[in-house]
Amino acid sequence: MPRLGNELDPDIERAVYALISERIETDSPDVREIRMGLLADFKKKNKSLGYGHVTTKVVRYNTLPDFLQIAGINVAEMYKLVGVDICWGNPLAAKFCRNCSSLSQETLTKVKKLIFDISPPYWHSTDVRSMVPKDRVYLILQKRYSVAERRVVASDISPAVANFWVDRKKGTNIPYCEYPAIANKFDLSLHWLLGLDAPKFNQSSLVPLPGAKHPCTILCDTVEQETILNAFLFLSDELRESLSATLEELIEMGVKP
Amino acid sequence: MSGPYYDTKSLMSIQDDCERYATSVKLFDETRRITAQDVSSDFKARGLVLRSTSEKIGTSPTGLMKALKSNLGMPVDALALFAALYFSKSTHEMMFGESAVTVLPKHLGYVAKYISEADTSTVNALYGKVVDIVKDDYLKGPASTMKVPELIRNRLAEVAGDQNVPPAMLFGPNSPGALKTTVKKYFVTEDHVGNLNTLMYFAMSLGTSLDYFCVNDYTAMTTIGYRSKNRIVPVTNQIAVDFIRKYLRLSPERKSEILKTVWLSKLEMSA
Repeated sequence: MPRLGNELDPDIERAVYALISERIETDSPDVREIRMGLLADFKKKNKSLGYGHVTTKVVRYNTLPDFLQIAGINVAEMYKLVGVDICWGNPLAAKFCRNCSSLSQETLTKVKKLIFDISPPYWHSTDVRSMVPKDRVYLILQKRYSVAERRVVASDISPAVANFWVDRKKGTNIPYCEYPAIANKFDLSLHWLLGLDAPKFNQSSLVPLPGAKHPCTILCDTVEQETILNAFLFLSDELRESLSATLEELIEMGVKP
Repeated sequence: MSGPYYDTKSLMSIQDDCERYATSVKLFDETRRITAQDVSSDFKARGLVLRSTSEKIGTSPTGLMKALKSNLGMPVDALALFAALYFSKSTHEMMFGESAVTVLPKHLGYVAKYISEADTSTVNALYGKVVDIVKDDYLKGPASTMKVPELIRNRLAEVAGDQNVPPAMLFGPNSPGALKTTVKKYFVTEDHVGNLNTLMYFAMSLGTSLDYFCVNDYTAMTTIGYRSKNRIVPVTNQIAVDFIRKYLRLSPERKSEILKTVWLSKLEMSA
């Protein structure tokens, strides 16, 4: 059952809280103390987010990086906790991302600039970067499909997305678990669709715990690679192929860290 | 012929795509009657014969006569040939009374900018590689074989690819109905009769020249340019123009190879 507003699904929230409790039990005393401190702070900061006078522990999208940082997991692992496996929807994107991780930092920065220069500007405009996930789904449905097609496409993905499309003007939310399927259907990056490219969402304000992954990564190793992948998936097929071939050749030529 | 009949800068200052398209329609409707009159009187003044002219450009004499009397409504390939053979002008110049910059798609604009700004040794090395790739494909490429419906389909797909939307969704949810119908005709029914005006409106509203939709190698007819921070920068570097000309005449496989060479050159320079 999706919640209203920009709130995380209760199933996911429950699973992550359970994981945090489990980790607190198994942690070494030093780490346990830090983790418990972070959790207490997090609950204290977010206690007013409940409905009316009831104080609940609702997690909103903008506090998700902090929440995952406390658990020491990233978005992909969060999905795994509730039985949603995230896989590469596009084989070329998987290859491209693998190649990106073999490049030096300097080359990677140049690749990022190149892709941003040739990709359409709308997806990283200021307006879009401040959009929440469901608004991004709405934007893509509007941009890519005609009025007649939108309802059909939404129904193809899942009943929850179809419901969102029908009730879109009443503020119906899309359950967080549905986004991987939507990203695959649109052939877009899940990172972009979840709004993790927005400056205030793409990193946690908390100090990382030992062994914790970056909370805002999904299929790539770093946030920079995720950002490059976001741009890559907004390119046309021809450009994707030529860029992928370029990276392969660069690696063959030995441009490595 | 007189002209120009409209001001590109003020047209491009309209931010909303659909509004700009609607303004293009109004502007063109106001001026096309005058244009046709000008062309018609020029045609007579030059002493051109209807039958032989129509044979050369591949239309019927009746069709040409009607076009001259009304709004120059004829197939785009015939129109391009008519403008080049008898007026030594690009289609856009003949139709709109002024020359316009043909705006390159984003990736080609990037290539043109890179070549214009790179140092001589890099450009020479890149050009050498491209000549090696091009070889004998240059003249056998789609330049001489591509038919007009296919050309327009490719161009519309290119504009759509640039915006990362399907061609049917150009200009977004409020896309003009006439444009939607035209795109549908080119991509679904492959019927391209009577869409010239829509393509003209579309070219105008994109801020590009009509030649983009009329001829495969538009570099020969018009100045090319790229968008940079909401303004159009004409490409003056001849090597860059020649590079784009070669690229446009190649098959899709070779095009991809050329792009790969450019990206590699760009990244190697920085690696």
